[in-house]
Amino acid sequence: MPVFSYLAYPKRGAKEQLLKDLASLDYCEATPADNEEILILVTDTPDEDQEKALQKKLKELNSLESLGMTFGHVDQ
Amino acid sequence: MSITRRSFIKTMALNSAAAAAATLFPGISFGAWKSLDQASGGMQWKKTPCRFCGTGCGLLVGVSGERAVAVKGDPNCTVNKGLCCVKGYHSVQILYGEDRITKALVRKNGQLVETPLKEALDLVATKMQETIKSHGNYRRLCFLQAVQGLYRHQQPGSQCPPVHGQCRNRVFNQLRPGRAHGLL
Repeated sequence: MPVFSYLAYPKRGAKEQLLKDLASLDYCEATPADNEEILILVTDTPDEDQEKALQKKLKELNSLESLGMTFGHVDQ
Repeated sequence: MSITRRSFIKTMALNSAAAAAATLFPGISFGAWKSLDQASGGMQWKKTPCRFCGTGCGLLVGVSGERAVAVKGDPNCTVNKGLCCVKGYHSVQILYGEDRITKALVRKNGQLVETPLKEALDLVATKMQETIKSHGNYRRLCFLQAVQGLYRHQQPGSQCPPVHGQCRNRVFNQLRPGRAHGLL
């Protein structure tokens, strides 16, 4: 049951779109900063297969510039 | 409050991201922080006004299950900007005070009878609607101020506003200060 958190950087002017895109994905919770072009993303997937599938979907998001991981935990 | 290992890990994930963001962007603000707290599952923060006086402070009350367990000032409220006075900080403890009044006294056939609060409030609402129907909105506002003033006087340790002085409730003050206070 992996839990990760990231700082999500949107492409220029795409912060709102990125928030919508992340909100539409399962296992994702995104919160935008009020005064910076950045979001906090927390993912909480049930198993590693779902985690890999989610990572793939995240990479396909057009509104996402990059992700900086800040926390990671996987139950053994 | 019950917190699972999973929700604890998730809270750590949230805090790590917030700390990293604060390091990279000093002064960064997350107005939706309440929803982040809720995601951890341990406690939900509910937005509410403070009920102790007319200043209008905003509170965030931490709820676990069906019980309020914590309180803090709402940082997004422009009145108190995240701070509370001593009454606000104790408002959750007061909710569960052993000597808290849990029933109302309603006069029935000339006698004061213990009545459930819900029934008493329904009676107040009915009377207010009758007053509005027969006399208009102005009298309803005066009635509300009278109730609020009485409520203040009943709070142990609370500061009662002077009857003929300046009321802290700006709405009623602007409407008709002298008349509203006269009902206290």
